[in-house]
Amino acid sequence: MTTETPAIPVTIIGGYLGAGKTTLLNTLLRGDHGLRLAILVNDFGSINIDAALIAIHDGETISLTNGCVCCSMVDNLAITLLELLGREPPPDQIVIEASGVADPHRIVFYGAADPRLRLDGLIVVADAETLPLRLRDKYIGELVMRQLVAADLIIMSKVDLIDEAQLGGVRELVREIAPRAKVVEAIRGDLPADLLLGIGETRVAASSPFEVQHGHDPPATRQEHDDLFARWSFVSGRPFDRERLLTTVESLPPSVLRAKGLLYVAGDPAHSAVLQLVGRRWTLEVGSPWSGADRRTRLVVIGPSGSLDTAQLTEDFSFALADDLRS
Amino acid sequence: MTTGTTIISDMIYLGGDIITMDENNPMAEAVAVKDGLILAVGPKDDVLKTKGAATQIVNLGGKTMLPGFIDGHSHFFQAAMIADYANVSAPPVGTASSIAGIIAVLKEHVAQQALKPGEWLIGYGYDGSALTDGRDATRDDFDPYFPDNPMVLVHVSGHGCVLNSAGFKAVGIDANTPTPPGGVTVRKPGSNEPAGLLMENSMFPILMALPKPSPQVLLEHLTTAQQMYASNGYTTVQDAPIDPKVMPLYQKAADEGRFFLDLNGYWESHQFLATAKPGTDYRSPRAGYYRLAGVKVIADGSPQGRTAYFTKPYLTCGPGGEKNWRGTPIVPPEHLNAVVKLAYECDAQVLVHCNGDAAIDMLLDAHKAAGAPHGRRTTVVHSQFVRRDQLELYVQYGINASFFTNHAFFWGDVHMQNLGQERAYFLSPMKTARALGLRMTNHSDFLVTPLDPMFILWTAVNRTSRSGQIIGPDERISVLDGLKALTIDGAHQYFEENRKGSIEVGKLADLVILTANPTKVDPAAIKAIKVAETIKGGKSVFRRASPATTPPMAQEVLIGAR
Repeated sequence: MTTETPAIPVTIIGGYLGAGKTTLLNTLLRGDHGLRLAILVNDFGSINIDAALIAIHDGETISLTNGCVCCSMVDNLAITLLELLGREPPPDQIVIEASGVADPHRIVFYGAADPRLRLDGLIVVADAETLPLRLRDKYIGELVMRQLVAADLIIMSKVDLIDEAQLGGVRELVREIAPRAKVVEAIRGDLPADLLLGIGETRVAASSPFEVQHGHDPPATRQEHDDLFARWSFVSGRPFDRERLLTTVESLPPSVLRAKGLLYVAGDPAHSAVLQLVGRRWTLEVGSPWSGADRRTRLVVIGPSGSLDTAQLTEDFSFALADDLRS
Repeated sequence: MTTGTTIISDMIYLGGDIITMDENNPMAEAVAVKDGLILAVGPKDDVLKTKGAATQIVNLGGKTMLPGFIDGHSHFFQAAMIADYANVSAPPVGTASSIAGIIAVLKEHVAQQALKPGEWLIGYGYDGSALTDGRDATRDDFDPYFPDNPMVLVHVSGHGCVLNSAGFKAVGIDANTPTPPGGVTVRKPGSNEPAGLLMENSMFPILMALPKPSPQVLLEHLTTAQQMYASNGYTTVQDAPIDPKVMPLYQKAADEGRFFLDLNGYWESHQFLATAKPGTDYRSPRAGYYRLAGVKVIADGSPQGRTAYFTKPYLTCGPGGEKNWRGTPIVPPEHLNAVVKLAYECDAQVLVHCNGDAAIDMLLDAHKAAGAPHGRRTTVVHSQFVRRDQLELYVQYGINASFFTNHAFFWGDVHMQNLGQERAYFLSPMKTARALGLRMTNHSDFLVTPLDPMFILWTAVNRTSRSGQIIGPDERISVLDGLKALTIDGAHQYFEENRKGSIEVGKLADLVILTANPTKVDPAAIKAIKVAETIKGGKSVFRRASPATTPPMAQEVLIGAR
């Protein structure tokens, strides 16, 4: 693996039977994200791929016309992953459907078992309608609880099937079990790809609506909304103060569901710092060297339209910028 | 004396103890075999009435004959997989008690296999904690002897391995390879160089690098695998679940006449759910040696690995450090319920692996939800930590158990630590089960523990752990009850009690000859008894060459039998 070959992100979708994992996976397979996904499922029976999308069905692998593949994990997961890594070209992203009773802590190891892979995050789907019942089940109640606690991002599905009072109860239940969890509510798995899979490099790079000079210029920001989700982007030619940046990221509100940034951080003028955030998991790692003298932060955040406080984000991230010691 | 009419027998065995396992005729002096079936069994003079000019007389020379052993549960295909591997286990499973011992085993293996440079040298059963050296083996131990063969010794747990330098080179692991999360890579002191032992996720790259035998080679290995079982006295073996990839191989082997032992195979449960249809009769009588008898579900993990599923927590933490840990089911109750229901509709037998009592509760609920039909002989495999109230339900429902008393020896001390005395002592409670009238077998779970039925019998009768503790003195059973679990109850488990499991007129001449009588030796000495010969359908399928222990006359007769 060369430093130019980025590690393939691995997203794990967990959750008990009937929570809505399959609906979500189908959304990803059909989606218009342009990514060549490899989706690993426990068996093809549940996935029910639209026949029109199928290019080749070869035993354990279904290749789709849109460049995605769906693999059934008949062999063990490790071998299936290794075989995927050997494909030419390798997939852009791998999504693993964790079995309904999977121990989330074990599954996340697979995301980082090979240096060519990078764990993107553990997304757990929970059915709002049946969750209280599941949590009380004498056989799998504890397991469902552990899945919620381990989740980076919880997707509460089928919220349209219950009334406000019930939904309030479920929200409260989840808050009690997993107080640090970030939850997004969904209907029929209708969630944007960049929320589920992460914000692409090109998306981040494209998030500079204005020409920004380095140095003293104030940061530029932009918001976009669709019905459900808002995206906020932040560009700045000034570096972040490392300590303040870490504090800011650590204290981001629950409404920040995904974030991705190539950041300019004071103290390392040679390399970008890559921020990846999914739910409550985030990493800040040394990235590629800046090309030329063009060092600027590009950061994108996704959150629910109603609750993402973009003004506060602008204030918090602006505050994290290093003090300009020159006048 | 029981006999047919005046038919002439092909062979007559006499001159030793014949334990028939037939309650109506428990001890016999002679057995007559005709066309692969038992023609007569009883007093010598009566059986000799079937002697004709061509009848061969076999003098047992004081050895003991029993019905051929019936495998209560094992993974037959694993015997085929390790056919080309070296056994580097420590005693009592192997002979390598030190690193030097391992090297000796490997050298012999290389010679025997005529391994060429560049070919993989693969061993199984490695356990650093069992070595007298007091440390794990490293590449430096093996490199001088095996410089040209990439070597991997698979850890007894299956979750680790030791490599030599050629092995590390072949899989591309070196000082620059980081240790993945969830992995253990032991490195040389003061350096990043991997020393030899890799555990858990560090093993990842090995999986793809190991050579996969071709289907043709695997077919040939099936013969070696059967020989392994036959040399241990088995005439009926099990593979449960059958890896879906292996199913066509078994069918091909059956079509090509490669089986000479009876194999009872069980579907993998997800494949079964996807393909089985009500109305297909899975319990049709055996047409040949290979038979698909039903489906196997795995409901929980292992008690020593702390992945068995209990109602009360382990005394120790979970494998990931979890507190108040009870284990978890490894299939959702929905899956188990669906498999049991469909299996009952298809008249397919259900075997369910359950170690912890919570997993057993799940199975009992599944049986109830499917209408609790009788006569299905649903079998709980291992059923190690069954509660007494659950045993009573087994009897009520007609559910069988296939126990695993070998655990008393191999992990008895571990279970005392993990679960406490009360639960540990009641592991595989064969005495209580017998008293309640339960039908039960006792198994090896090969590869997990050795095939040897005399070792299994020894653990059932003695229940002694490695440290010498008796794990549940009250659950030790009699030798005869222990033998039932290896013979007639095994036949019953497979709905084949009309054909096998005891030496009775009309049943198959599936027989085993042992070097001593297990009911007559000191209980501690049971595990020293060896298999002298194994006979399947009247034909010898294994003979031990041991001139030292066989009286010359009998030896002549045995070998001279034409």
